[in-house]
Amino acid sequence: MMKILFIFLFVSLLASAQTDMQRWGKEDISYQSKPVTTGKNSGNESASITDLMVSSFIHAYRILISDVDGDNCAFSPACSSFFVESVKETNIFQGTLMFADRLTRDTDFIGRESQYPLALNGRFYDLPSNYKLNTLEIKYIPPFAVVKDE
Amino acid sequence: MKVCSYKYFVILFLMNPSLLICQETLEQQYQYSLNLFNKERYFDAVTELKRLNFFDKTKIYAYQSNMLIGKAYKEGGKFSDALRYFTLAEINARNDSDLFDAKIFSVRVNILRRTTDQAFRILDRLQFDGKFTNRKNEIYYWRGWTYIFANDWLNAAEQFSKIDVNHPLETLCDKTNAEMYNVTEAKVLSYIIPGAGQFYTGHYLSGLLSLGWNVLWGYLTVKAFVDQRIFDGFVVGNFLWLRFYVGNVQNAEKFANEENLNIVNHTLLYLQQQYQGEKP
Amino acid sequence: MNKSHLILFFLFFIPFQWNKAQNKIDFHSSDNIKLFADYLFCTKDYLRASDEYINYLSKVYSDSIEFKSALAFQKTGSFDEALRSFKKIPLESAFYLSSIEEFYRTLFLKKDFTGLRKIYSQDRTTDGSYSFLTRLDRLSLLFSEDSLPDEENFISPFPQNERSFIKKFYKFKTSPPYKSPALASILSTLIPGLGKVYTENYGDALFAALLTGVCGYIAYTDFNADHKVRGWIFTGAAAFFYTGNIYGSAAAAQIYNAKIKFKFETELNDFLDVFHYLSGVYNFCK
Repeated sequence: MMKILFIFLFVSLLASAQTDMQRWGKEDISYQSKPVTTGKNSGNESASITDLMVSSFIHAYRILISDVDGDNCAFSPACSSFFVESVKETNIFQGTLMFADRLTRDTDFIGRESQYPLALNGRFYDLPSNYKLNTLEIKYIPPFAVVKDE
Repeated sequence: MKVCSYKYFVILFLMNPSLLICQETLEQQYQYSLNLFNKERYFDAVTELKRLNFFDKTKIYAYQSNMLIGKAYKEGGKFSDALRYFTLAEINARNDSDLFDAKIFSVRVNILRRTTDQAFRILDRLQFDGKFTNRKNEIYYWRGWTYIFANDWLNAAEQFSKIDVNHPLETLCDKTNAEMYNVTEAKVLSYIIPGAGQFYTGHYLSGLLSLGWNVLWGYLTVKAFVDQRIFDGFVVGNFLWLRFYVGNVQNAEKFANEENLNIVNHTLLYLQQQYQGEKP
Repeated sequence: MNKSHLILFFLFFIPFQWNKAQNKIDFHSSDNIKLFADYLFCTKDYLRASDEYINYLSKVYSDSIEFKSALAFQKTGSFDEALRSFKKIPLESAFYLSSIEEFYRTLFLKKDFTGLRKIYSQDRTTDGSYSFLTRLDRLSLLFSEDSLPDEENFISPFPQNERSFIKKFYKFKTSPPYKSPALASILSTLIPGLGKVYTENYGDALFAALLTGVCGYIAYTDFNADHKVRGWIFTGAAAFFYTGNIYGSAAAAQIYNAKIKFKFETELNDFLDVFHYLSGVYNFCK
């Protein structure tokens, strides 16, 4: 019952609003398809030297190992991206702790469907901002809901 | 006397209410809505068409107004609403030609929102209905477009060739299909030789790395078994060799799909921006 | 005389018949605008209905149309216009009491809880709308961080069929069953994974314990077999997972708290919807 409730709420929230509640105009529809993302993104500007070092290390790891052994992370953003983002948003120590916790949660294959929401690419949606020990930044999204992020 | 009687006439004339108030016919209201539609003021066009529908008690304009509302919603990207009104237009069709046109618009909306199964269903019903044999070329045309959006370029080319052997879209679809990579072939190549599928799709570095890792872990696994270190062999074989081997096949498939997506998007961009024929 | 009568006849009668024959309609007469606007309102096309009502009211004033116009504003989220329109309904109108209720409801929908509570503290009426205002006042307290009155005072304005829900919401708001991140961390320090058991993440707890335990065990056997390098690597891995779990247990407690707060808010919104706090029931559309 709760699951259905959550799905209903989020689908209705995230889907487009009731059509004619706002004035609308011509919409340019693109014929092209968007590629399916894997959750491994390059990330943007680095702030400090540790950020740069971690970024470069992860880039090298991606090219030599991660891109070759397949897309094995059940989460989106993938664990390596999560690590880079965590370090960027906090610091190297807290980022490492967040990464260790993420690896544990990645290894745990029991009961994930009822714990995490889904990203568009079918993986579990799990942002670093929920794990920074900052209650103001935690955004709880119920399981089974599909997050239409960007 | 003359002046008085003149005033008398004018007053009575002006008392005629139908001359004082601006009244329109349904046709004038329809033309006004059409004008708004042509100026791309779609929201307002829908309002005026709904007004027309409300006062059109005998439903003379029901088909035309519902079709135009559907087209307005289609232009605004509101596909569910568009389909609803095209269905209403079908119900109010005055003849077979109207019915066919309404159904074709439903097909076009389904193509745009990529619900190609529904588009095929409508086209099948049109094709197997004896009433529309004179319009079979249109059915082939839109079936071709549906195949394009269902990413089946070979069947799309076949549909266009039924209209005309030298149809420009037939040539385009054939060309696109020929350029595309065979995903199964890429996977099979990588099953046999790790990295071969990646080479096939032009990703040389990834192919080399795949080959390298698979050779390394394969060698270490076999060596472990040969040296009777069975546990080590299982660990290396399962957690390392297998992982890189499966990743290799996955990458072959992924790269083939990525390259195909690029090719397809290139063609779709041409169709959207440069092709002059009728488009969904 | 005869000639002038004939001219009169033609000047008057013919244009009238000509218009009728052409089926001319005055689409923009006040009556027709009202008919069309009501139709739009009843088919839930509120934005268009709103535009038509504004058009009508610019020519003719009617309290019922003003009321419907205000409702249309409310439905399309134009809360300030809705508030203004509800205020315009005169005392003599049949819609006066409803307009007061809708005014309060619009403030609530707009989430202007301060404004709502200010009116509640000032209002001294005793009619039905005051009871509605009282209930909205109580409900607004559930959305803010202000202190709540005692339970009896809080629940009493509500009818019997709503009280069990209100009681539940009151209990959650006054003493939410939050988990402590500090306690979660301490538990995980004592036994790896215990903190995550406390936060009800049982799978994560198991694997945290396994990863720490297995790495620790391998480190132990390596040191025993005098494989110093391997020993230290696996000790590092064990420490990595151990500290990660302590941190992760605190984070899991915070996420648990966010989860139950979300559930509370969802249930509260469902209650408001089902019991008609978010939209009134009228019989404008048969």
